[in-house]
Amino acid sequence: MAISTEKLSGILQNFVTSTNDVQGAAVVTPDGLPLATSLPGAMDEERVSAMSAAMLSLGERIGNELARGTIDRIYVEGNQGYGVLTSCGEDAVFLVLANQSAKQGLLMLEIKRALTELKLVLM
Amino acid sequence: MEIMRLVVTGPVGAGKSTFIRSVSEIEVVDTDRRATDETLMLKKRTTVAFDFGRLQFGPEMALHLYGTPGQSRFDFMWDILIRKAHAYILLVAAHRPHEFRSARRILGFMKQRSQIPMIIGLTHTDCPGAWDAENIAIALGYLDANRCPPIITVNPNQSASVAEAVIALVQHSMQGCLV
Amino acid sequence: MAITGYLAEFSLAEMFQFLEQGCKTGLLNICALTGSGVEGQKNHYIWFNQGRIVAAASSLNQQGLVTMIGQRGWLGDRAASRLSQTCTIGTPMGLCLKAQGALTAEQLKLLFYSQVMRQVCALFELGDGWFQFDPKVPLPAAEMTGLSAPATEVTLAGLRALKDWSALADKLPDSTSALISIIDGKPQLRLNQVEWQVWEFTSGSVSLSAIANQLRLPVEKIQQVAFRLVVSALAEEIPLIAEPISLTPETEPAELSVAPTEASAVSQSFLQNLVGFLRGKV
Repeated sequence: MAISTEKLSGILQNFVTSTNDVQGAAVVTPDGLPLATSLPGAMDEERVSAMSAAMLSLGERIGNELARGTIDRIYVEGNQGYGVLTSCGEDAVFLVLANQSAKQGLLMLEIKRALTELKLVLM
Repeated sequence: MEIMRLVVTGPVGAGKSTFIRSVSEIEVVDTDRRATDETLMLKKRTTVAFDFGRLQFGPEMALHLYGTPGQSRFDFMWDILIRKAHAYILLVAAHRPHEFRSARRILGFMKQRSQIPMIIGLTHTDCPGAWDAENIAIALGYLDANRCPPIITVNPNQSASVAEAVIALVQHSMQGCLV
Repeated sequence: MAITGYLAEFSLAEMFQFLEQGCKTGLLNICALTGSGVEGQKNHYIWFNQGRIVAAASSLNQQGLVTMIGQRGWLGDRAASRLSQTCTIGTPMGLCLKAQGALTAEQLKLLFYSQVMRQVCALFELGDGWFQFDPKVPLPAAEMTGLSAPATEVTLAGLRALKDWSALADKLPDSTSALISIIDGKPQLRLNQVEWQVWEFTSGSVSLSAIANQLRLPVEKIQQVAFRLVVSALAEEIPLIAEPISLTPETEPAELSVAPTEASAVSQSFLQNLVGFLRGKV
């Protein structure tokens, strides 16, 4: 069955608007193409997708070479917020951008929930 | 430890990853993923961050090779890799003229950021429809033969051929150092 | 060496740019694969001399120009052939007829316009075609008016008239790229108004989408104009790295660690060692 990008977009939009402090989210292919995005206006979805793929592949490679095992998530923490990358099955990568006031524990929980929803559509 | 960093760049499917695998003494650190875009017409997997290979040839001397992704959506990787490089080789598949424009775009990007020595390596020169070096130089915008970087032919699958290409690049950068 | 390929891969505009910049002489044969082509013709022939287009025809029978003259009622086929026999071999037929007072300079201009400008411009509408450029073919004196046009001038005219850009979609410069001039001073080619406007931005620092914003035109339109400037060898596409996006503009953007740092030079002995080592592998 074809992946419903409409459903993916719906989940992302819902996730971004209903989760506190989340500014954007994207589901991209492992080779860096957007499947669905809900991003702040100034961000180019193509670039965001390519960067997500590059970061996850490097992270996985580091996990492998430095014996950290399978990578659950990659976390970028800056003074203006967070970028969290999670593998979303074999065919997709999930990126979440949150601002600096986000509560980490809560954010992880929300990401986990969104992942479950996304995986159902991606299957 | 003295290290020389070479960047291998070029359009999708020119043979960058293969090139590095052919010369590296370590297992290449690759970041390839299954292709889902038009790249799929050429090959199954594509580099999304960079390839890394190494050649240690003395106790305190090593050559590091970095391969870039080919698609322009990864140009942030081109930028990161070229900034620390000592020299680079642009690989171009001689039989795929529709990628000459993409090669030109990469060239423009690199030239704007870096004045380091470079050479052009032509791959697939034995394929039907392959253009010759002189014509590819024109198509890449090198109209004056005197101002054109060295153009060599390379088979990325053969380590001897790749070693020759690296020699050509190193010798070209030696000339640059002497000036 | 002959160059062959498909227009879907190497577009006519790129081919013309190549032939002009390479100052090529020879015959370009285009065989239409899709789309109607000009007046339903399958084969098209364009002759180049030193990168300039000197003649075009839909057949190799050397009768194209004579027929055109006849159709206009300027000179009968027979009369034209007879007159042309007195020409020195290799002299373009147009010049020869003009020298004999059979045609005026103005008439030659009109002939060249419909033979080259109109026919060749129409080829830009071709969906796909197979092409071959053969540098060994001699110039066809019987098809030549004696006039010529730079290949890129024809490209400009052809692309200006082009309605359906879908075949060139992946050739167009990226909307995030900028243009940089590759000529000294101002273009010699006659540009139209919007081309001049875009030309003003060829400093290598303004993205096509920003140009579109400033000129209040759709970005696709600017990409098409940019492509015209690129294939007429006036400007080059320069990819721009997007500025770091700041979602909270009141704070200073954090310094990125990718400040331009030159790699420290390697020593000559290092390079010599490396070459020696690699020689062992060859």
